[in-house]
Amino acid sequence: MSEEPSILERVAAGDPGAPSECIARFSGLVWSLARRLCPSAAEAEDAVQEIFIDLWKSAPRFDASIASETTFVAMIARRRLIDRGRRRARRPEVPQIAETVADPRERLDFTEANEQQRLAKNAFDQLRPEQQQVLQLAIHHGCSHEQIATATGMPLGTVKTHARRGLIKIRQILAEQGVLSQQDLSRASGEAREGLS
Amino acid sequence: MSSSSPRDDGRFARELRETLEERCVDRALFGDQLSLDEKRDATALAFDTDACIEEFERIAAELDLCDLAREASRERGRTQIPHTLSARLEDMATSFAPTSSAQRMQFDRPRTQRQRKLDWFSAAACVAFGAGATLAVLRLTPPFQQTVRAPQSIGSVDPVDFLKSHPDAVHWPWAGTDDSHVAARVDGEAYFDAASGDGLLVIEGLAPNDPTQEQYQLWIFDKSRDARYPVDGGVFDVDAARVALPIAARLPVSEPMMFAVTVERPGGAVVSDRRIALLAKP
Repeated sequence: MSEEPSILERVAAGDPGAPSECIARFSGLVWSLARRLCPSAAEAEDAVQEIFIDLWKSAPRFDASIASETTFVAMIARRRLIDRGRRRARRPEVPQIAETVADPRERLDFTEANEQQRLAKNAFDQLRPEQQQVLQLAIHHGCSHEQIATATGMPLGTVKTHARRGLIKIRQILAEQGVLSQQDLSRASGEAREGLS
Repeated sequence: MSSSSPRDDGRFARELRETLEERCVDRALFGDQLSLDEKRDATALAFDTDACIEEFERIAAELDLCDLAREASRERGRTQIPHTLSARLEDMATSFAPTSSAQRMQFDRPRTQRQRKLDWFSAAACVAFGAGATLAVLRLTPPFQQTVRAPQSIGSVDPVDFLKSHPDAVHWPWAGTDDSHVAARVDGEAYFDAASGDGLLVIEGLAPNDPTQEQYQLWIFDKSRDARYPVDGGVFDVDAARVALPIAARLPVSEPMMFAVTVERPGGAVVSDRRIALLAKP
């Protein structure tokens, strides 16, 4: 039995109705990410538009064997938001406040965490508390190294170390649980071989 | 001359790989760009930094989604997008038309809030020349013949080799604008040696162009010239995710201060009033 192509696969294939479906399915998720990582609703609106353009352009790269569609959308969105944040940091800007009359349609398809997300969270829970704190601020609040250092009182170098070691540790735990893709595992085994040489 | 043992070499490679992994975390979490030296190290180790960055981005996304799911169940209203944005997105979806052969997407890009207030072109000019400048278009003094150059692979035009042979060259990273030709992640640098007039463009993250419809054009801003008249660096095409091509300035450039890539009609423009896609400056 052949599975039906996903929305992103249909976007990549040029299905004219797929971009609209993509918006209906993922705009709630993208909007939530943007609202959390943008300083104003107006900027979040701009970001959401950019993200969907990126998403449609990136649709041919989606591989269901590596990540779910939701994870892929969140990856693209986060990357764009982080890059916007860096540009914003270099460009002083007056905060904007825009009217945001909510669209009453519910778009909460992402509320069910999938198995991979739960495993990632379990791996996160195994980190040291200070690593969790730093990653929480970086991932969920979009804080820079400097902002985390200010917020926690940790030296900048310590913040970098916790972020790096924490995420690398999560990857290691996921690899041990067999969560990472075949591509990841192939690379990991290549690295192990090289480490032994 | 001392020689290291295979054990030392192995340890060095392992440590270098660990450092590169850490830098990939920095990119995935904070948007830090890898330096030229780090990219060179990665190439030497056959270390795929893009794949590593994506792996960490994926983990971060999954963690974020767990948190969002909890948040969404608490404050559902926040996930409802504004009516106005919803309408704009629908317009975008309607005008989106993929051309599957080259995976090149064309669509009418809506003007963003920022663009509605200030055109990007004026904004870029203000960034470059200060708030007092009145530059609205890029201009070249005499009309020069434009030449189309085919992009070359990164292997044949190596920035490391270029910097070795031009130690005084400037090299600045590209920053993408909101233009639709620019991908989310822009990489690469503009290299230029004023003494020899030699330069090199390395660009990753610019959409492939259809040369019959439009071409990219490089402009070099020279501190010794009137800022309204940047030097034409030639037109070029992009047909790969990453391109490297030599710069051939039409006029001597004594002190480069910024590079810009615009999207132009085929053959390029003498006076550009179109969009800036990329900027590189100190």
